[in-house]
Amino acid sequence: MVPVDSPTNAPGLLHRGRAGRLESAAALAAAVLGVALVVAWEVARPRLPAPFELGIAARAPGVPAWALRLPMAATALLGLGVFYTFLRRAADRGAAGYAVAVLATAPAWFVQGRTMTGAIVPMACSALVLAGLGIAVLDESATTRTKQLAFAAAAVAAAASVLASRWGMPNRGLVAVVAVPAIAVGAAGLLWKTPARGTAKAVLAVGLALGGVAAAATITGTGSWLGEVVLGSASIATKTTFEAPVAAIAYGLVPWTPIVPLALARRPSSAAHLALLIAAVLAVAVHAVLAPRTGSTTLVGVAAIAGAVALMLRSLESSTRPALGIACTVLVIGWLVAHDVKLAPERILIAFGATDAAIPAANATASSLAIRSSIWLFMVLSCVALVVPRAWLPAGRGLAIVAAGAFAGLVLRAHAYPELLSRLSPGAAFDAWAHSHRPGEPLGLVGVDLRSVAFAPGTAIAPQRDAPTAGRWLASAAHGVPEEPRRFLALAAGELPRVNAEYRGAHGKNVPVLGGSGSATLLATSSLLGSERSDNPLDAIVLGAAPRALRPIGAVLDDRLEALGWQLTDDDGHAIDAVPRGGKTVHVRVALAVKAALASGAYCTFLHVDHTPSRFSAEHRELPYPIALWRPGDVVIDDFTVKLPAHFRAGSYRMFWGVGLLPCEDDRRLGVTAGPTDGHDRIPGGTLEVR
Amino acid sequence: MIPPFVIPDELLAPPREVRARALARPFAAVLGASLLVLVVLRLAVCAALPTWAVAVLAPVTALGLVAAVFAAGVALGPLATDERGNVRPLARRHGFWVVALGVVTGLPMLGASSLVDPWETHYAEVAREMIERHDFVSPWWANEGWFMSKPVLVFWLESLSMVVLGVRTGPDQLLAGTAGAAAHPEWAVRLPALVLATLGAYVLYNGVSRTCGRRAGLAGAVVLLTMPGYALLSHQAITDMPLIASVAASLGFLLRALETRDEAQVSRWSVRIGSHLVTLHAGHAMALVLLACTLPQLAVLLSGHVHLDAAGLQVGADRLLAGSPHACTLPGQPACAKVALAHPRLPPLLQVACWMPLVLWLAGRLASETRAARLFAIAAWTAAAIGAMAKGPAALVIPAAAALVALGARRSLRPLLRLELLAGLATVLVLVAPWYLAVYARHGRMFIDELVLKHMLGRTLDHLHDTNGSDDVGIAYFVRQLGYATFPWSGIALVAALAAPSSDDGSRRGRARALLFGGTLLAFALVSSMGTKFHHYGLVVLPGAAMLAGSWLDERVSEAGSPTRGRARGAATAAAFVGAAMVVLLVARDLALAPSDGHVPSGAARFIHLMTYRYDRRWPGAETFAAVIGAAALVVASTCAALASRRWRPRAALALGASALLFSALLLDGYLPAASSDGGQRGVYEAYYRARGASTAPLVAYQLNWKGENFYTGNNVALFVTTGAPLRAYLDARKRAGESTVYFVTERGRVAGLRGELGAVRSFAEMTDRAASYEFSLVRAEL
Repeated sequence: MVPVDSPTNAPGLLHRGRAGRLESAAALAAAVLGVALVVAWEVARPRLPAPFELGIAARAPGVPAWALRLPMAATALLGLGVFYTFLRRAADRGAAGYAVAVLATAPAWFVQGRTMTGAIVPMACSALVLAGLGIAVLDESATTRTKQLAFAAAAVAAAASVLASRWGMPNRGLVAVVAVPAIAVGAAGLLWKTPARGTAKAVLAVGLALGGVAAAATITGTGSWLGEVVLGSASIATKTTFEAPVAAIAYGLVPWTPIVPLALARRPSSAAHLALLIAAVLAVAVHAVLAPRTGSTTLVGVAAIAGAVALMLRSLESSTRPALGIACTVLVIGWLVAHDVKLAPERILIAFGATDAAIPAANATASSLAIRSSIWLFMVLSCVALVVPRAWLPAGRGLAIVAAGAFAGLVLRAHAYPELLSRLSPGAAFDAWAHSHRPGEPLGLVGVDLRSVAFAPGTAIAPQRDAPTAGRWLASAAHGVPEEPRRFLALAAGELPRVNAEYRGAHGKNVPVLGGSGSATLLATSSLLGSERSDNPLDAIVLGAAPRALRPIGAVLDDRLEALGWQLTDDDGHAIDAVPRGGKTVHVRVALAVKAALASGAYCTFLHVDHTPSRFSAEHRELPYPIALWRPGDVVIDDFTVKLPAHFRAGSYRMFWGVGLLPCEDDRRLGVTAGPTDGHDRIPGGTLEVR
Repeated sequence: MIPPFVIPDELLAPPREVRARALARPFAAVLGASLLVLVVLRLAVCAALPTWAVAVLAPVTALGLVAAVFAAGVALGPLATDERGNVRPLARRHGFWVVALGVVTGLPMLGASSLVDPWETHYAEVAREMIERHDFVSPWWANEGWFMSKPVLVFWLESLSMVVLGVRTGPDQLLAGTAGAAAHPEWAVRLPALVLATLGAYVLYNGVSRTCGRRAGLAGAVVLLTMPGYALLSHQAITDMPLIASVAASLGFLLRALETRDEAQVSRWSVRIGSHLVTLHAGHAMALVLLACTLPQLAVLLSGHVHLDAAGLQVGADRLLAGSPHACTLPGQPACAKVALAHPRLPPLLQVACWMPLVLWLAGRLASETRAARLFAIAAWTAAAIGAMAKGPAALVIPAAAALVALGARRSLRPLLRLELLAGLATVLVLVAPWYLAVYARHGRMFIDELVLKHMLGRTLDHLHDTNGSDDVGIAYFVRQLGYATFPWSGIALVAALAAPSSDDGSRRGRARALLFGGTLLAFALVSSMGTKFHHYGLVVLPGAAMLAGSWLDERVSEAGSPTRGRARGAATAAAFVGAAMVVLLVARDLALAPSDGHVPSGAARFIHLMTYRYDRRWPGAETFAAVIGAAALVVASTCAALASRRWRPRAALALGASALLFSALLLDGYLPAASSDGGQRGVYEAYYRARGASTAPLVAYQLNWKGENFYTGNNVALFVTTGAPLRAYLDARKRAGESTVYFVTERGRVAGLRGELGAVRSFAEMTDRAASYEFSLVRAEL
């Protein structure tokens, strides 16, 4: 081997070294500037806090949301920086960079880093403790002073995780934040037989002691203060099973999800790698153990998982053989996750670590496509990187996968999640109010946290007890007189039907919606002015008159409900005359005229498309405009999304509609009192053509 | 172009020669042992032996049969030496212990408990009707008419078993045992599942043992046979064990096919019969298997031309009769009627004429094939086809996907030639297609639409129906179910499966691992992406996962004895075992500690949930096993922790296997009988026949449609799924005829409704308590 002079000692390289330092400094400055710009852009959006941010926001009323989010972003950046330092020392610069790339583009981390839920604090503290203890125990090159500093940093982080709960941050307990990293680092030090085995034993003992205290606290009653400190704050008890972390990983760590299980089973290449693997597995296990107590939360040990992923990808750099098994796994897991998100977009909300009640699931749909695209992008690029010959990838398979993941993750970070956040924030509704209201016009609130208004100062607030009250309050304003003051109502999207029912009862038309359509919070008004147009989503469902071009039915149920007719439309609402074969969805829209409110009881509507021997049936157990709200004079559209199974070949099939009694599992139905019936209180609607 | 497959005799090794006389005794022993097994099982069915005696005699005689078959194999030649040419007695054959394990854990209580409603009774009733209706082509299930949601194999196997073991399938005969004891038709109904489970495990063991070593194969088989998902399924007369066992066998044969050299020839054995010398080899055996699987099907098709009626035996055109004989006039039962054939121009005779040339060509081709790899490939296709006959194309898709992954791991498509694509597809065609063509000829498009498009394709692509309620049915769904189905191997199976894709080292073991991983991964992907999900769908993942676990464990034990002690490897292994222990404890928390809230069952019921879709009802018998599960978890977790130590690892591995065996035995012999009683109807009918005695008091199924009421009564039951006026009219007619005593069977929760609907009666008494059946109740009413 030819000896190579050290660059600093090589003659003539002194000047280049200085220039290099200057270049490095410039690069660092550019990076800092870039990060600052990103942070500034992120913390400013959405302008108003989302409902799940209000816990912290309400502690500083009047302070802009961006100012409250900034400490969270700083905490996330601190966590990234310290974790980078640990991996750079314990592994190498490449692995450290990969870990930062993974962590910065994993929703479970960056969503918490830009919102003020406070969950980033225990996550970052856990990363800090892991990094501090890791440097102190596993970094053989660290000086005593460095080790002392590292221990101190870990201790400060541990204390901060407990104290932060005093300022409204979630307390996830010392077991998750301290014991997991301590056991991981201690056990790795002992198993790997590192020089600092004495320190490793001590660290392991601390971790195990905390684990023992946690066990004792569990046995003696987790409601005690000790339980709070060690196990974390208890949430509403939920029924969870052992695989609770699977969903948190699957949907919270996209696009990296497919790599995670493989990374956790990878053979370690160093003591630090082993520590990361143990920490990641323990973090997952602790999450599973505590899930019944803590409910739906984000994983505290995300950093350890990201580190394990980074080191796995780093180890792939040297792999010359195509990794077909890994590619297959990436493809299968990625595809399954994308499939899940497509079927139930609300799964992605797990990155927020909040309960469903705080985040209406329907808002997730808008971001679903971007998230699925991101998963597919990562999946395809990773698989290509894993199976092509090594020579095609001069920088290595690992870097190619990291680049693919970082790119896909940036799509999430820059587009999908900001879009989702903007829908969750009441900003659109309040902005519409700011534009539309005149001085002195009051704003009612229903289903919207009163604390949100702190971010829309100068508002005359009229909180409403419930949706019907709010609807009546809105409807009782002067109507149709431009000079009279109007009333406005900020309402949760879920409350719209009941508000609308009251308004229709008073004015015979749907309540005007001025802003926030498609978001979790809407702005309704008592009347429209000039060029204003209502954007009420119920306008397509609750009408004042029968739509044109109906295929007539003309049957009456219980003398209260007349089935006027039906339309067949495609997904875009265009009328079609037949159902195309091949699994395409169509809509059967049945128009109903309400003659009298239905008697009390729980109803469902159903649609049957007969086929021998088994029919297609669809039920609406819950309607977007509930049956209980139907009033005389309403024309309601019962819109069934129909996807006929493959055994419905081309032909004509008889279709029946009716109203059943919940749970809609037997033949108890509302009687047909006039018009056609099949003898079983089903109304024949004619035939559905399949072509 | 089909490659040549006839090797000239002079190029083959000279066959071993044996005299026919020398074979007489061993083959007579096989015959005798078979008869002995048959006698014991028939006595078990007719309840002539007490349960304990059957529990002892059935495994003992079955092991005797295995020993006799081995002796015959030794005498003929195939089993004279092992794969290395060494002579090894039966007790030192790992494969024997695999079979013995299946028999000893599986047989003792196989038929001692009730069929569990609804799936077991669904399929058993269809099989029973096949016998009663003398129609083995068109499945029928009582009041619901033609049964169109599953392919035919499981019904054929169960009906064959019932006939061979002497089950009396007529009205009121099912529980008529000897000397007044209640018969146990369950032995016959469940036997095919156990036999297939054992065979599937053995073939997969064989494949793994030849590629990863005998100990790895044995470890994998122990893991597979003691996983609750597999063990309990071997005691369930449903379509899934034929599917899973077939997938297991197909994977086993694929391993052999891909790891056998192209030019390797099968051994030959010559039998001298007088002056004639008959030379046999595995190709002949394969041809025989093919004929054994196809000719009976063709015979069944031809039986459509033979009719047994009042005029005696007649030969004529195929005819299709709807209705259940003996029950045509009972309330709620469809009338017996002749149904027009959809395609009368496609009679069974013509169908057989179409299939026969293909069958004979294939049999001839196999009989002359002497390349071992090719025969293993055909065997893999055959196994997959058998699975497809039982449940559908999943049995073909999973091994095919596994083979593709294995080929990818080799980075070569050359082994594709060895996989006999053309002959394999032809094998699938002659095994699977005849019945489909036959039902198409009889019922037309409707049957295919229902079975293929709705129940196979529809369930895969769409959410047809399930009972998961608000449970998350995403990627975590089958992770959860597999956690329970693999307990107490949950941790090791998880670690082994996740480690597999990263350990692609190009070795023989690595290639085998790629195939097993491919099978496991694709099976998981298939079931997880299905629109319709039931817990047991995930069990098809088990064969591959178990073998990966066995192989991984074997490697770790070898590693413990290895003189080269890598620091990384040792640390990783220790951490992996501790991680596995944690997983076991977490899974056990759900199983042993999740309490019942009075309505929702406690965690221990999760095992029986793997076999039924009644997830919302209580299983108190099963729930008493929580303590056993907890204790097992502690033992297994401790053993996993001990495995982390190199020094203790070999012994800890043995202890782990022993613990799993013990737990499996408790599960099969304690848990399942208790759960069967909770969710089965047998106890109710035993009580009915006891109470009814010699009288003819009728039985009415009140708002009941689980099919246990049809099976256990031989369908001699008046069905009122919906009640009201029809029931009142029926009871009034009974009353007018002076028959005032009526028995009712119903769900326990509906007894109050029944009482209200009967109104004023002379007496109304519940005849069975929760010990007889937790879910179902027998009521006697005097009108």
